[in-house]
Order: sequence, then structure tokens, then C-alpha cells
Amino acid sequence: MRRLKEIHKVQELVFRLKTSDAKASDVVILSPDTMMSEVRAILRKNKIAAAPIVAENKVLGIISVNDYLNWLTAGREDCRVEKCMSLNVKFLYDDEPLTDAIKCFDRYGFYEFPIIDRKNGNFAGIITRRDIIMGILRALEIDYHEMEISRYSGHTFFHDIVADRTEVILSFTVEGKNIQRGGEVASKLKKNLQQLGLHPGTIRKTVIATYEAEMNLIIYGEGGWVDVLVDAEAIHIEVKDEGPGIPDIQKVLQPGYSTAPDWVRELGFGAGMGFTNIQNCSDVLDIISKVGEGTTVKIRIGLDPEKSNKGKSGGKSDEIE
Amino acid sequence: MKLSEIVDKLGLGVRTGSGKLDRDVSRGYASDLMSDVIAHGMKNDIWVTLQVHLNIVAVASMKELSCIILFNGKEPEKDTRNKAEEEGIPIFVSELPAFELIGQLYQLGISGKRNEPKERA
Amino acid sequence: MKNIDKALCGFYLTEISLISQEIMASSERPILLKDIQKILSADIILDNEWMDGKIQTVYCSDLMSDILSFGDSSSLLITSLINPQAIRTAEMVDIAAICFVHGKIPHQETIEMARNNEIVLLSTRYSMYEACGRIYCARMSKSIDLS
Repeated sequence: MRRLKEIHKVQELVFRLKTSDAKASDVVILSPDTMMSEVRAILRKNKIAAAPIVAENKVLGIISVNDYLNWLTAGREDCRVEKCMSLNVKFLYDDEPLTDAIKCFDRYGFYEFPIIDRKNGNFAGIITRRDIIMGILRALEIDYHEMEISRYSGHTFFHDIVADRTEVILSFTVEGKNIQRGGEVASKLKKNLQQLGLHPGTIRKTVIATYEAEMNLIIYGEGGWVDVLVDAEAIHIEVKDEGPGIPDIQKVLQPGYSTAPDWVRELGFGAGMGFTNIQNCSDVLDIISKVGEGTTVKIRIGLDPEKSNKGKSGGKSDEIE
Repeated sequence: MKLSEIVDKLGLGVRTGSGKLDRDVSRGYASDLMSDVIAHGMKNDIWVTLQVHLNIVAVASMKELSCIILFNGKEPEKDTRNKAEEEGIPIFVSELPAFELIGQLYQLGISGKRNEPKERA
Repeated sequence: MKNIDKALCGFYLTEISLISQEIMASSERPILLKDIQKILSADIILDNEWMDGKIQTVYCSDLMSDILSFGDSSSLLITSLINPQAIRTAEMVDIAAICFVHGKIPHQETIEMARNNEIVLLSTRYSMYEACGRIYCARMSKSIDLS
């Protein structure tokens, strides 16, 4: 169920967010020679409970409302904050998960934490409880599609398996003329490829190409087989039938050319874009067909959407593999 | 509204029927299924479609539609153009996708209402 | 202020307002499913609980190959096709909602397929042309109201 999936995605999203994703954009910091008497006004004006003391990009300490009150009740003379600040600053690194930030808030009961850049120890911002909520809300507003892309970590199934060569083979049988079930293979393939952790763009191309080929099997091919091989570089799809065969392959590659009977057109198919769509989705497309014996369509789609090299599409009308 | 105004305002490409732009139109219909247009199309409708084959001219002629507008920059096939010129059916081309094209036509006052009384011959 | 300066000001103000109208019109804020349902006086086939969904893009088509080229996953498809393929094709490209026109309603099996994929189903008595026109206009006037 997609809704359940969305809830899991949200959970995953939360685990993936870093403190730098949620931190506040405008921060209030104090310089070391701010006077204690000024602290109250600054905290109050900005509606914050504490502020870090920062000099030359480094956090020297932190002053909170409590520190101010202690100073006040002790009746001490006005002095620079440097003298009264807490040196024991609890902070978070900018690349720590947001969940750690939540734990810290729970554990220490503070209202805010400074954020430090792990690379150079510089002050990188502040995070409050409110920022955490706002950060999550902002992330959730991202388009679902973008969420898919952003959570695509590039870490596929193949990274987890240790072998000299790994291939996943998925085989499907398609019944001819049963148009009710058209698209079932493409749908199953989609879910499987998502399980393998492949890039959403690659999955989309694969699913569209498979769907079109599957419908061809049903409408023209009297049924057949769809075999999908996924390795670390590409998806290889072979769609085979023992149907009437294609007399003129160049013609079927032309957009708009269709031999679809009327009943097919009335269902929204038969616009003659099938092979064009497949071509647009694949890096390499080969059609091998012999009239009276059948057709084999071979499709290759590279896993890396950046590196897709559109090879040429071709077809042989005479030979069959 | 005259076809010529619509062509102007929406920047449509005129492929056939350039002599027939004087016609008055007020209604539109959108479909890519021939049987659907045959069932629901009404005389003088503007027909919005992306089908480019010869049949669109036959259907447009049969239902006495005022013109055909192809969207997504689709171009009519050569046979289609020839037939359309013969039958006097204007074919226009828009670069817009269907939803945007229909929306803009609608804003010009070309509605899709279907319950108008049949026009007298 | 000199007359020429006034005229220039007026010109720039008009330009700015035209440009901002254009920007707002094309910025396409998402529209809620429940607003679409109202605009089209549509019956809700699936599901009353899902009407808070947001729609970014509206597509209309009766051709599968056309639908396969649609990209946006928070989109609404307006179509007259009620066969199971329409649902299947919508599922392939992650379409979130389908509105059938001419008051058409698919068979129960098709509705179940949509339910399994959590695709919203609506049905409007309007034609595809009328449905698109209404949503387009409603969206345009919404954008301008922002100012």
C-alpha cells in the first residue's frame, strides 16, 4: 500500500536528515566582550533561552538565562560574558543525524545547541527544538518524486552482495489476448527493481519499455515471455513471442505507424507509439523477427542515468536467434 | 468568436483551410478516440486531438466540425493534409500540451457545454 | 514629479504587475483534490479519506502511449478510458489521481486495482474539454488572487 510506504519513507527521511538540514537560518551570537547587563535584553528581544559566545568562528562558551539569573542573584559586578559563561558547551556536529539532536534535547533539557562544522571546528549555526520540527516539515513538503530521488542513495542491492559477478534474473510469462492482465509484468518488475534499490529514473524507463513490449505480446504476439537480467551495469530485457512476426521492422519504428485493430484502439492503444516509446527509454534496442515464426525484442538500459548512451536501434527481419 | 481570432490569440500554426478562418465558433471538444468524437461531437465544434492520421478528416467532415487543433506540436500526415484541403477542414497546430491548450481556449470563451439545442441545417 | 517621470513610473508599474502576474500564473501552486472535486462537481469513487492530496500538474489524454510520457507524481489524469489499463498505465508513471469524464464509472475490478495502488478515482459529468477548461480557469484566478 503506497500510504504505508509513505509512512516508512517519512521515518527513513527523519533518519536521513542531518542537523545541518534543520538548523536555524538566523542565529544570535554574543561576542566575548558583550556585558552581562546586556544579556537579558538580547535574550528577551530574540525570544531565546541561550546564546553562544563566538569569536573568530570558534565557540568559546555559552550563556543562558540561568547563567544570567545566577549572576544577578549573586549580586556580582557587571562584567564581560566571557567571565560568566559556561565553558562546558554541549554541541552537535553538522553531519550528525537529526535523531541524535532529538536525543540530546531529551537528555540535557537545553533549549538549543550550537552546531560545529566537523571539518574545521568552526561555528556553523544553532539548532532549537522548533528548528527540528520545521526541518522535518520542510523536508516533507518536498515533492514525493523529489523525495524518491533524494533518498536514492546510490546504494543498490549490488553493493551488498560480494561476488565476482552478480546477476538477478526475473522471468515472466505473458498470456496472449488477455488484455485485462496487460501491464501486470511491468507492474511486478517495477516493485522488484525498487527492492533492488535502483535509481527511480532508470526504473521508470524500464517499466515503460517493458509495458509497451508486454502489450505488444498480448495484442499482436499471442503471448510470450519477458526475461529481465539485472547486473551491476545495466538492465537487459528480452521479450519473445512465437506470433506472426513483423514484416517490416523499419516501419514499426516509425512513430504513428500502427496495425492495431479497432477494438484495441478503442482501449486507448494502437497509437503507433509503442516502439518509439521503447526506443526513447532504452540505450540499445534490437528487434529480430521472422514472419510466421515470431519476434524477439532486446532492450538494454544502463543503471546509471547520467551515463545513458543512446546506441542505435536496429532490427533484422529474417533471422531469429 | 472567429477562427482567425483564435489562431491569432493562441499563435496557432495554420496547416490547411487558410481560407476558412472566417467561421464563428463557440464550443470545443477534446478526444483522441474516433468513436468518442462520433458519439459526442457536435456541429461546429473545435476538435482538440493529437491524432494525425487520415481518419480525423473523415470524422471531422461527418460531424461537420469547424476545425481540428493538434497539440504538443504534432503535425498532420501528408495524406491527412491533402484530404483536409479537399474537404475544406482547417487543421491548426499548437505547441502546447492538451490541458494548457484547452484552458486557454476556454478562457477565450470556447466552452465545452453539451446541452445546446441542435442548430438548424 | 515631471510628466515624463510619471509616465515612466506608470509604465514600469504596469510591466512589473504584468510580469508578476505571469510568474504567479505559471508558478502553479498545487491545487487540492477536494477543490478539484468541487470544481468538477465530481463523484468520489475512491476515496473520501484521500481528498487532502495536492495536485501539481493536470494531464488529459485517452492514449496510453501519451499517458506514459507524463512525468509528475502528484498529477491528475483526466480521461474517458475506464478499462483496467488506464489504472495500470497510471500506476507505471506514478499518477496520483484519475478523473473519468462523461460520468463514466469503471467496473469493480478496476476500482479494486486502483485501491491497491492508492490511486484516487473521481467521476465528473463534464466532457474532457469542459473539465480541463474549468480547472484551468479556477487555477488561473487563484493565482491572481494571491496579490
